[in-house]
Amino acid sequence: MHITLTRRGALALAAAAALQPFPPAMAAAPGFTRAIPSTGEAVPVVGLGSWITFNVGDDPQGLANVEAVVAAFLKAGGTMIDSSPMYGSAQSAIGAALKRLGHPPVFSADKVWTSGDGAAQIATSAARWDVARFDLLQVHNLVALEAQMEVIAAMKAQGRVRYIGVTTSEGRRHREFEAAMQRYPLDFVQFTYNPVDREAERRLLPLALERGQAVIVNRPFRQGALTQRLEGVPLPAWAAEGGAATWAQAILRFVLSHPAATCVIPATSNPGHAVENVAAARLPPPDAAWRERLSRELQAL
Amino acid sequence: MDEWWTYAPSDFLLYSRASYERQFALLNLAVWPGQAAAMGAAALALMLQAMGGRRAPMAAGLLLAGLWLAVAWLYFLDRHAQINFIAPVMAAAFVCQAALLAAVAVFAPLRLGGARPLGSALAALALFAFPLAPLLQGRAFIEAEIVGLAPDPTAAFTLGALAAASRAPPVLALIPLGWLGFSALALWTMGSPAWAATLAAAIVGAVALRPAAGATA
Repeated sequence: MHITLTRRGALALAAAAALQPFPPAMAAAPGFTRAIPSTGEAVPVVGLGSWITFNVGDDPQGLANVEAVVAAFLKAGGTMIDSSPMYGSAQSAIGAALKRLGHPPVFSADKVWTSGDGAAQIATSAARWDVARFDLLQVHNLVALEAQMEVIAAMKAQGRVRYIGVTTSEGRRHREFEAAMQRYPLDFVQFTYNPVDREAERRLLPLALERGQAVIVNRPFRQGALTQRLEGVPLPAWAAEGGAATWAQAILRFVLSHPAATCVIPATSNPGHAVENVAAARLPPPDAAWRERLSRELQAL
Repeated sequence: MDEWWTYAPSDFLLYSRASYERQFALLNLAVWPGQAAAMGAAALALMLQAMGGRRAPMAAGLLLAGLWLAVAWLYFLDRHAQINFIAPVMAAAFVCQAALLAAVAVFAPLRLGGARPLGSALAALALFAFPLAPLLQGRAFIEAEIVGLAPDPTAAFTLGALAAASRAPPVLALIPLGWLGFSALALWTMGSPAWAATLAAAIVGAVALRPAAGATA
């Protein structure tokens, strides 16, 4: 089941959001997938990031582990895998895994990260992934934004990529990011959002709803810092309400409960965690009180 | 780099601790049994540095330079570059150090001089104790870091050799000290307990290199 947000619906929600940070009526509907606003295409709400976890060089052990994570992720129902040339050898590790798995269908999301020849970098990235074209190309961290937006917009017009977007992370450069969201016809925007990093609730998330831009959420676990801090801490009954079995699932439930969130991309080097993360997509959305309590408790850590 | 104040060391770490440690296992497998040659060259350098004349100390310095070149090529360019795109810059620093060591070896070879037990001890620890670190941490011995193959013990060994010599030019200590400090920060950031030993090697090396009171040539 997936939700499709019409433009009228998005504007109504955005208007409501302007009145209060998180109107209860806006709580996202349950569903393993959500619609990408610009096309209505359904995409599973939990994807897979690759920052650090997939940067293993040519280590056979590391590559085998990446393959195991990707296989477990895809088997659990996930499709979106996100990477970047900035992530060392992660792209090649993904490509090797997909090749060994027989090129299963994935939603390939990559980035252009250069002040130089973006087209050449994208071609190199595609070769590493062993894909003919990407589903989504994003300008990474606003690097050479104008020039690279021209490149990927042209690629989209030529049918060489299906979606285009922009990324930032850790709450950096949100003013510039907002300007980019206003200026460009973006299909996707990607930024950080989690129970302790909620800056995006102020402007970026409501603006994405208003503009009909799909939101990919990165760093849901603050690169593991949140989940590591919670290791050994039993999940209290109130947090487990709704079916979350772990803190990671509770955090993902929080992230996905924002109606603007389309997909969250936790990274992991543990195949079991990849399955656990995707399973969070089936949890019912929480109410506002639960969200605020989780945020309060995690910020107090 | 906009909003530079919001960046922490972890923002610049591109790989996990597991990937980093595995690099040494892969290096050791690739060069086996070259570890014996690397350690033998390092031990020989110390012995030659203690000998009289000009040729033996010059050979010692050139051997030391060779160790830094080997790390630049075998580790940084051949291994580390796979997971870190600034590895070539690190390799360049190690080549620079090799050039400095070679220049000093040719024009003003270092000789063992004065009572410098701290320097000799640091060199010996770098050569024989550093490789045992994985065992102390419950890791596989194949991940051992060897002088002449891995950067941290090579830098520590060099500081020890410089401290054991009489009147080593301070410029020779800059890159080894800088590298050990940088590596300690990286290790701490990735959660490796090895950061303490690496930082300790830098501190001991710096202390050992201080001019001794009343020291003569």
